Amino acid sequence: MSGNHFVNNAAPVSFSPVPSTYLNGTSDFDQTIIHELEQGRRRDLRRTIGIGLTFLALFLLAWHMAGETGLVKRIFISDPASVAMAIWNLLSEHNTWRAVFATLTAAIFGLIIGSALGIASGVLFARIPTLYRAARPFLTIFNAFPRPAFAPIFILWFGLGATPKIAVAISIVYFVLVLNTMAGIRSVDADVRFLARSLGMSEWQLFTIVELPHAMPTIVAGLRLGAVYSVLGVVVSEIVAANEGLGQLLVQYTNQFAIAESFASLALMAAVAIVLDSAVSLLQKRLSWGRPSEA
Amino acid sequence: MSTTIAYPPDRCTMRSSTEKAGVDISLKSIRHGFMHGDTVVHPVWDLDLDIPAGQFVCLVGPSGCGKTTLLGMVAGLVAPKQGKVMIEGAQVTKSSSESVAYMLARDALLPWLSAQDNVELGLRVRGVPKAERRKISSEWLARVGLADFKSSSILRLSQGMRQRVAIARTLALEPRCILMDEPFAALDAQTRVLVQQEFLKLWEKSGTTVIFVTHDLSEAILLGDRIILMSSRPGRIVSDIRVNLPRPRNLTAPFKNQGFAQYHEQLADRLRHEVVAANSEA
Repeated sequence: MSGNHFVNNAAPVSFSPVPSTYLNGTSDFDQTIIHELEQGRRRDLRRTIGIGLTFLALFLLAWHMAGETGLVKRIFISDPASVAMAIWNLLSEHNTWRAVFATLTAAIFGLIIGSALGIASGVLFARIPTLYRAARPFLTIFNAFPRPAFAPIFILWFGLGATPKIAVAISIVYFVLVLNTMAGIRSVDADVRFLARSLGMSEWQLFTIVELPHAMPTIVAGLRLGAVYSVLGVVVSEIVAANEGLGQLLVQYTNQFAIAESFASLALMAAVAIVLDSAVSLLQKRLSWGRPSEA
Repeated sequence: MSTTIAYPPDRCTMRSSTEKAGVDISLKSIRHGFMHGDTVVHPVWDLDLDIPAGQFVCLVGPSGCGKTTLLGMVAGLVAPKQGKVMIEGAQVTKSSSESVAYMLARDALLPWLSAQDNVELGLRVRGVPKAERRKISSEWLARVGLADFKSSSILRLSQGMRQRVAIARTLALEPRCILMDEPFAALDAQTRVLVQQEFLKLWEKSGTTVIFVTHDLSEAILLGDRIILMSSRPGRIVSDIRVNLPRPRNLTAPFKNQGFAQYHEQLADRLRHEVVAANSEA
């Protein structure tokens, strides 16, 4: 095409420019408003932390006093100081770290494999409605099974290593990601789809330029849920039977009635889930668009 | 029944442009139908329409009279069940729509892309190399007054600014025909007048063919060279009127345009009649 016919006349065109100061306030007046906002945010943060710490203190105090006054037998609930000591002691043992490593790696594998399969199926189901309608009854039935209950069977099939744990984790994570991926892709605005067609986008372009980036926040939100569920699946499987892992550690301590160490093992499981969730939330910051959301 | 009018020589031929910017569009005996719930509706029935290159045509009519369907047909997105849609004498197909650009009421911008990346969207789809895309989109953002907002997130722009980005995205494709489906309907009254004015100035230089769907009769008279009033379903042409108001037109005070009142009077009753008919259906 020979030159743009909208501008073949050299006369300057006419939209009154919007000054860049529209967004970035540099005046003193604007600075005051920005300052006030930041002050307000800092105050809110202080209050949030204050309330949180108060709750924590009250909880620990109530726990301690319940045992101290004999309201509940210490043999069942231990006390905060002993649990703290138990965590410290556990962390100095090589065995504990092997258990943490076993649980964490299995949870990571479960999350990665489960979400890869889940995202891939979610994309296929969202793009090929007929395939989804055909698969739906099977998905509904499979989803209705309480998946951790697969653990004994998987252990029977795969032995006491990492495989059955990973399989349980996959069976849970998969559905979370299928549903979130589908929801994300389907929520692309009808106008945007229309525009994409009018621009002549191919199916592949529609997927890579529009659908996938649009669905990304929903998919990553699914990954965060998946991270926690993956640890859940792995731990349940370990509790049923495993060579090593935090689930087994817990079972051993409760069998010995070592209540402080049992609580300490629970705390380590939570820590593993938090590590995985934080890793995913870093990813969330990179891949999500839109206004900063809650949580 | 439609009245045939002999049109004076077209503005774009007078514009001593080296190439003809607009395209001729011709719709011949179009019939269309689709299922709506459990009935077949006919949004368009035996419609013939010829649009010479460079004309700004406004389609007015009650909701559901097939205006949007017609735009879809010209864009090659909807295939008529019967009849032919031709651009420059060639039948429109899904892949022949390169010369056509579409603009909607809602801006349909992609919020994860910057303003500039949004302007480049169509160019990217067409495989224009990155450096050239940057150049074209920078020019267009400057032309719509948003030179300072290249890397701004769409979510931080006002409605009016977003619609300007959408205009830049549309015009960056150098379309020879622009299809506009109530493009300014989502803007507040004051912003709408501004954006209309700005768009008209760009268009008056371009000689592009425009098909513009609106519910707003005043908007149609102020912007268009010609107004096609369509009936309630099945969609047919009720009247076909040439608007001879001189350009540039005064958009801020419609009645200051000599003859505006007469056009408005002439069309308002017929439009009301069709809207009443549409509403008494079903």
